[in-house]
Amino acid sequence: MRRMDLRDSAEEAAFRSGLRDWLTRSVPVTAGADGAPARGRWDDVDAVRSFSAALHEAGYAGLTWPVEYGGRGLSPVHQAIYLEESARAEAGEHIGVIGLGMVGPTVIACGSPAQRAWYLPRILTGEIIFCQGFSEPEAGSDLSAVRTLARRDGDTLVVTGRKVWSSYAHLADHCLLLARTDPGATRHRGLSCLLVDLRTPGVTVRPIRQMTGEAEFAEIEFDEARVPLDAVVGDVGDGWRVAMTTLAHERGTFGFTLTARLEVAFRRLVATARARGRDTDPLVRDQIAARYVELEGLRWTNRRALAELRRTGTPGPETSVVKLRWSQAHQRLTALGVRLTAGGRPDGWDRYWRREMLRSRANTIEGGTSEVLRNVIAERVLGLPRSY
Amino acid sequence: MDFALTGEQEALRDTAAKYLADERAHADADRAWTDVTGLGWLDPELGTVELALLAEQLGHARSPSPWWATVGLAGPALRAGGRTLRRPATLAWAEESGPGTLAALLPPARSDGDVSCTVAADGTLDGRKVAVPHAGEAVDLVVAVAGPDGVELRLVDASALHPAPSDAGPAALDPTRPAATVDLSGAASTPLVAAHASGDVLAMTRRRTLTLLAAEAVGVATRALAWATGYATARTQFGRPIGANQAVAHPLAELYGQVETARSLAYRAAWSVDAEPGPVADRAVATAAVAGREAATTACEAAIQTYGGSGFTWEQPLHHWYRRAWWLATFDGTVSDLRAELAALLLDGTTGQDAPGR
Ligand SMILES: Cc1cc2nc3c(=O)[nH]c(=O)nc-3n(C[C@H](O)[C@H](O)[C@H](O)COP(=O)(O)OP(=O)(O)OC[C@H]3O[C@@H](n4cnc5c(N)ncnc54)[C@H](O)[C@@H]3O)c2cc1C
Repeated sequence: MRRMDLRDSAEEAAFRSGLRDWLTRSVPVTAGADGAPARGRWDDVDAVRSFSAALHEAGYAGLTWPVEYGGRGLSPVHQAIYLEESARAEAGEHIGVIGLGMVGPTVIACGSPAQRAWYLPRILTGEIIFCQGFSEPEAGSDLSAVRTLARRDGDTLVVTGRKVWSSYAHLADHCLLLARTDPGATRHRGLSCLLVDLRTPGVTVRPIRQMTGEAEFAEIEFDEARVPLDAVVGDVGDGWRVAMTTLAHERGTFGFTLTARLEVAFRRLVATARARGRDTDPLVRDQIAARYVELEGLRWTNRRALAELRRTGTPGPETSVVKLRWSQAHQRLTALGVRLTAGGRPDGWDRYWRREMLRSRANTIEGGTSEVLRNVIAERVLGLPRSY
Repeated sequence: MDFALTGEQEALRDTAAKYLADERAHADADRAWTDVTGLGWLDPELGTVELALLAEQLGHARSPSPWWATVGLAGPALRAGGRTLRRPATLAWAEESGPGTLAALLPPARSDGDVSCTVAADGTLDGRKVAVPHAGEAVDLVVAVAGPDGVELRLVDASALHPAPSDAGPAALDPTRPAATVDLSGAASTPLVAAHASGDVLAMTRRRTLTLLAAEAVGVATRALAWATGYATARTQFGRPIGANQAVAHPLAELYGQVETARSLAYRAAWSVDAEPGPVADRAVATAAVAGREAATTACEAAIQTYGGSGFTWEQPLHHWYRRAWWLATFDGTVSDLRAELAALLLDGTTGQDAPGR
């Protein structure tokens, strides 16, 4: 008889220990002398690239993708184990986070056989790096206001418009683009999703400097860029549905990724408190415990939602709260990191927490703002009347 | 790994919900206790997960039943002493100038000399216990007393005692959670758990009780959120439902997230209590207790605010749940105490090393 059991099954435990061994051997040590992380996640792109290739060779890229597309066909539980263990090992992420987490699953769900055959293996190896081009200056929370136009000309689409805030677009060579293929249609109608090679003439990528001083996202300008018609994912005009598939993936299993990152941050917070001798201060201890409760709430809610997903095929309504609560938890945690390192001799930790604190301000904006997420929960989960 | 409830667990929960939804379930205490026994809620087969599911529903209904004290506070000692749970039971642990909380009776805090209630060779007790929950209703009273070899747990027939209510009536925080001072002088007792085993039994008692109360708190929070949501949909001002204002809707959306994460933690703690080693379970329990208690008070406060003036009335039942929420928030230590305990588990000693691990 099936029983609730929060332990790994024998098979899951074997997967975990194999992975641990691999991580011990393969994760490059980057911490400085004081134990603080030496650099940001993407500072050394070559290192990220070679680690991604190693991940793929070892079979840890695309764990949940179907075997026929180069994945391992494993359950989301394995993906969760992977994320937990790589977080504990302080391993970096695959360079194709957007491709692996969002574009690939979208191509699997809605793409043509030719698109699957071409893109999926290359996303796994890291040969093709995707970014996501949905947001525009006039279309943020209200994505249906997209204006970028993809005008039909024979068997090509001529794309003109401007995308903003596209993460890692300056590292990417491809973009999943949401554009209007029917200029006469408004709102959710007449949109299409396109797989666009950013090296196409007429495409310009300009990094946008963010408040941390770095440029992790970029503006993409399309000026009469010619894209073949077979770049459309799904049917022409069906782009809204395809885009929602992408966002569902962004908000679904992504919870595990976010929580794994929060776990890394929590470990670093504890390490910082110890390194700065603040771990005996009762106020600091109270705050650390509060952050731990938030982290654990997310971890176990992810697992509960996963069990629901396995049983019913759709993620439980709990999933909707993970990103909302994660973003707040991360902001509070990084702010605590800054407070712990304020004053005293400068070291790697104060640099690290200042950067993380500033970066965390985006958490309640990127991937759907907290206000929009609250609208979604109020309306779709609690059944309250629409507020906007 | 499988964090889904089984069909049996769901059936247990749903039956409880259905039974408790009927007002008659709470009208007569004797009848209610007979029902609890008949429904099998005292059965030894029930694990902590099953008990937590019941506690959640009892919190949802804000049941006055001493069930939680029977299975949570007294259950581990009675079972360890080879007794079956049939009658309402409770545990007497706190003393005026001795141990205050259950934690004070556990290693490393425990100092056996602090316990001033004593037992003579013939089993006769001497001393006073304070803040004994449901002392007036309990028939089986488990007491922690100082014996020749240290603190032991003994059984007293409470019907012979005359508890003096210390927190009851309308002035009480939650009148359905009465507490009393119990004078044990001259009372006869029989042994349940010897001194060498009492630490482990009391540790299990605390884990189980705090977990059941965390689940109960989730039930309280769920009820408050449901009320608030219902009212926000039904009540109209300025020509539209008040819930169409984000200032009303968004706090409820936040609350939903708080309640669901607290629920995940309560179930996880319940599983951990039966399945994982002590220090791991202690961490899970303290985490669930913090989250559950905070969710319950926050949810009731949000509901009261959503109801406006009517939320402040005696007639509107919200305050009964709010009182229960505060009783939960302060039972055997506050949320700050629990966070201090958690910090010790995370930062001190060796178990802290792999803190966020399991
Ligand atoms: C670091 C970062 C990375 C990003 N990466 C990508 C990416 O890779 N690809 C991509 O396409 N986009 C990306 N974005 C864009 C992101 O999705 C948008 O910024 C976001 O959806 C909000 O849109 P906006 O910036 O236009 O703000 P607006 O929509 O103009 O919102 C401004 C404010 O108004 C609030 N608001 C808007 N509508 C409502 C409403 N109905 N009810 C209540 N409040 C409302 C918002 O919550 C916000 O506080 C990224 C953003 C950031 C910060």
